[in-house]
Amino acid sequence: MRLLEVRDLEAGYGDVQVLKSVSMHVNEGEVVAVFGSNGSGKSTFLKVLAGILKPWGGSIKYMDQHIEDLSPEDRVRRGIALASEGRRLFLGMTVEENLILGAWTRKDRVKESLEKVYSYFPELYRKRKDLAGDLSGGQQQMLSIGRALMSGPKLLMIDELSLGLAPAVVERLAGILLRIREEEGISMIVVEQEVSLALEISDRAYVFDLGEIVDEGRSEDLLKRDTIRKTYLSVL
Amino acid sequence: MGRHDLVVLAGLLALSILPPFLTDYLERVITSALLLASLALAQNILLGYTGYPAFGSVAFFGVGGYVTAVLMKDLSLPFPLALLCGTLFSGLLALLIAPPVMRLKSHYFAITTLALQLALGELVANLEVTGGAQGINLPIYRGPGGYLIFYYLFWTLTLVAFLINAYVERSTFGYALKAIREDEVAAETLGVNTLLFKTASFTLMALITGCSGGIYAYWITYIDPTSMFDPVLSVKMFVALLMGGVGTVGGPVAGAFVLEVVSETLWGQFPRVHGLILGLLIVLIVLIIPKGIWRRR
Repeated sequence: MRLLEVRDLEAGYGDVQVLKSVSMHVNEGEVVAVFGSNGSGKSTFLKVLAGILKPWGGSIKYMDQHIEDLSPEDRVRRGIALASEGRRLFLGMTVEENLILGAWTRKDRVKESLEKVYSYFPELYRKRKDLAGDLSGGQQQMLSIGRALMSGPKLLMIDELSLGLAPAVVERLAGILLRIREEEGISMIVVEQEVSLALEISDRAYVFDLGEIVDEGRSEDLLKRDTIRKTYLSVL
Repeated sequence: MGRHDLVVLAGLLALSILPPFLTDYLERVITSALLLASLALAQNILLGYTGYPAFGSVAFFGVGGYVTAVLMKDLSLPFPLALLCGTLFSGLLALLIAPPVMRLKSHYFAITTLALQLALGELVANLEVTGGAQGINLPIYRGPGGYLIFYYLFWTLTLVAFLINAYVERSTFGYALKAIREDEVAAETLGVNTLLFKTASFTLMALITGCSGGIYAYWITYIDPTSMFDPVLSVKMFVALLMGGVGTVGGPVAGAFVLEVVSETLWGQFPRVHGLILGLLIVLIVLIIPKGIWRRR
């Protein structure tokens, strides 16, 4: 069943159009990767889905309801959560304060959500009294994902999972994400520049270029496709 | 509330039993310090926790003072009722202007509030009901306790403002404000209604500042636009806040008392150059302890 359906989405900043007629969908329980070169509009796309950026045109249907005009707050309430690019943590606040803020839209379930997040990321429990700014890059990414999970999302969007992280850390995070998908049944959109990782953890993928979707398909099929291998995986 | 803040709270509570041992001069110095502390604590909610510097927050000091004074003089309202109206009017004004003003960021916001302070000062100077540039004379308080009543009014206001800051520090309301301070867009993506919380923070600041202005008006008994919308008061309040520690509960109180005591001492010892020495001292303190004397981390 379709959880998210985007049709002919257009958006930009000022007079500059970034997204041009983007159409895609996410099924329930599915992990969808979005990749492409720098400036291809991937992060802008997530900002529009999260409600931070207003679309110029097109439609966004989530659980069969139009959400284009909903505020970010209302989208979080309905189960759309974003782990932003660059993590955007509250560095001057503790790990636990960051997590509590993640559950802003369902304050009645903070304890339960904290327990769940700590079970996926035990490091965060050990560091719960530390400032977010004092964490390592990997721990900050865990906190970013954990904070997004605190809202109890049905659709989790992760912008640049591997940015600035060691391969071993990325591998571990990818494993945790798959575990979360399996145990919680959460659908995910993973925006990622590391294409091999994106295809490895996803069921399907969309390729962005200059604000348009130029290719799409099942991840295992895309991995075999010559154009993808040459352009994004440096395989000659 | 941390251990440091409990020390400030204990100090504040001790001030309540101090008056019988104080000379008139010391009583006045402490009253002035409490006034400054209340303003710095109000600003701390907006700047320290929400990250919005209102250079012109003294506008609400003037509004609170003038509304209190006009109601006492023209409508013969008793002081407590006039003060309540002055405080609420300041809060209402903040509530009305917050939606457009709180969409501005950093220096644009700061300059806009400063413009508001200057514009309101000009408006008051040209209205008949406010006495124009001549100002307003209020009756001298002759009730029980004499002028000590103003000591206790500022003490109560400072204590309330301190407790509000302590609440903000540890409550989910405060978490939302701090999230806005740290990263407003990130706060929004978590579902925090940022405009609502910024408006609440701005209004809370205005209520405390307006109340302080109302007490000040009756304490001084004569107000004019220059004294009630005085940019120097804004500067003093910011210096006290920066010296004490922005975003700490006890810092604004500590900063206000240090500034007032040092300022008064220098005034007494070096009447000709006290301003110069005070300025140098402030520069030194900011250079040596940029996060303020009360900053824990």
